[in-house]
Amino acid sequence: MGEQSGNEKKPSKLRLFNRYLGKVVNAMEVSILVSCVAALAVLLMVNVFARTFFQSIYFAEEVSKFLVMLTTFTGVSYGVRKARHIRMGAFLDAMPPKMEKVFLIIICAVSAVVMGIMTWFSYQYLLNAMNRGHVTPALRMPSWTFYVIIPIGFGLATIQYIRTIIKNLIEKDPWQSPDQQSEYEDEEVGGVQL
Amino acid sequence: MTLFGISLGSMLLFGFPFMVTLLGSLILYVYVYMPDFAPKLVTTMVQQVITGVTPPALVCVPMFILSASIITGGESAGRLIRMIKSFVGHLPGGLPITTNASCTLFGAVSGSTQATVAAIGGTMRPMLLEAGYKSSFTLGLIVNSSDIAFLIPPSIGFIVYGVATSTSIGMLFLSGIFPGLLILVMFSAYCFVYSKIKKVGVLPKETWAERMTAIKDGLPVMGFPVIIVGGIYAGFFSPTEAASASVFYALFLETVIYRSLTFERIVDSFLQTGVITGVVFILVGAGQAFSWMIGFMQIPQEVLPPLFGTDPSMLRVILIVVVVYFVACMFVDPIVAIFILSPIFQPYVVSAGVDPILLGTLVTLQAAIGSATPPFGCDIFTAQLIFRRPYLEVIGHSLPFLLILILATVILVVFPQIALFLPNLAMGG
Repeated sequence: MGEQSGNEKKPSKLRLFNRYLGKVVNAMEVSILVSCVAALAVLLMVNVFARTFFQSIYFAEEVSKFLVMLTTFTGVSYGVRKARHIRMGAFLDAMPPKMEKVFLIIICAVSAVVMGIMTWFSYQYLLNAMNRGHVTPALRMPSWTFYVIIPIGFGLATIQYIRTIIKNLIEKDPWQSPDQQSEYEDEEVGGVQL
Repeated sequence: MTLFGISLGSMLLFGFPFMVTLLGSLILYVYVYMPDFAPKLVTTMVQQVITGVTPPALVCVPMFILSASIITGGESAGRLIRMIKSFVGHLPGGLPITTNASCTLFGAVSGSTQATVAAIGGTMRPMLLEAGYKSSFTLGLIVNSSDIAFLIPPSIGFIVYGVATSTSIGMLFLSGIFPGLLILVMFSAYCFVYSKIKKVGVLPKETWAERMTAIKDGLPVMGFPVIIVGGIYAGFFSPTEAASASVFYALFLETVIYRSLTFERIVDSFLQTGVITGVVFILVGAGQAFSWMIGFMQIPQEVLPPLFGTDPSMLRVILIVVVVYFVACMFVDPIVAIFILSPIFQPYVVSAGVDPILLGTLVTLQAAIGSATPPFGCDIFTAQLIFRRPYLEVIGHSLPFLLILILATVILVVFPQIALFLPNLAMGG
């Protein structure tokens, strides 16, 4: 959370920082999401064939669990960035823009705190799992590798909420997320529109 | 308890994301009332989130989302509509009936109402408007017919209910088919009468040659119900296997047979699937943490006994559960509602001897109805998002459909065999 405090005096630098961070994170998230879903689909389809003609792949369940977790927690932060998280937006949409902006900043601040707390505790959970040194039953992998993505996902979500606050402070209109002005906007496929 | 309720309610109403509403209220509660244990409890929450997203049965959800996403980007929905329209288009109410039937059949590919609204509604609404139907009628029709898709397997509602209560997902899938068809018939009858009274014009009758072409074009889409329903009914596929088979079939259909998908489209459907999976699964995880915590805080033990009384009858349990789900889904996403409420009600349901599969069907039906019901049903916002029409226009014509759906619930409670005979048949054979 300390990153943005030093830059607050010069909005142009802040804007640059915001844009750069957005691009790097976007490329990472999109490639993780696409490859995980593709890998999951291939794995499960191959497993159906394998089960029918030979025998089930012994690590299929474990790897699919890993891929689901990777997809979920990457999707959490991507969802924040693209204003895709499910919420009940009826009142917010009905507000005049100025009031909506105030509420958006409050919502993002609270969300950033909640996500920050989840980041911290999932990091603790990860450290704890590393200390215990359990291994997974099928592949004999250290089980903490499954949990690495959780603090990363929550942490990136925290950053995205902070970026939304910055966006709302430097732009005139209310912004739902750093990349999307409102949910009603068409989403650009995979690209960054900053 | 009061603080917990206030934070939950206000965050919900002011448009906080559901995941923040659930996790944030819990964190606030533990830090205010149990500061000494707070770090330990929040760590447990993290653990519960992990437990929530990793049951093996949930792996089929991204696969069903993926096959629906592939199909939505391609031509299947359009071909399906053309096929049905060629048969019923010339009847009074032909186009609304086409909408109903297309939503039902598309439900056999997609597991969520949102995907169905987008795929079928996007094509049908211009046609309906051109034929002279009022805009609010078309929106009410599309939103409510998409509910049928939530009952036709695959359905994310059934999957989540099955995971939350350890009920067989395959059997739940089978139980949804006939209630879905029942609602299809009732909606179609209403559309027939409505169109007759309003004297909306009908389409010219198509010749058998045209119908045959339409069947030839659209028939491959019917492979999905064969794979999913047939595969599960025959015991050949588990739900996860049926899901991956349907992804395979969707890719085959759209790339080899219809040749409608480009590589970019496919990559985009993977991305969209990843995002929807993330957004849905974090809710399931947060829901798991939430339901664990309210169990820990013993909230169900405080709230439920006065509601159920001692030794409640089967009918009373069913009525309470149905009403609570209906109301809850008017406010929150059905997935969250099912995941949090089901474990709470489970002990009463078991002790009153209610069939878990029947209850699963009723709960999923209520989740579908609630999410299409004003003021805050989430399907309404989906329709607003997709069609860009004002709120009042979207809900303007929902009352008749709502009444029909409530009637369908009553019929289902009185004649549970509508839902149960197919699963019983599958288990017997």
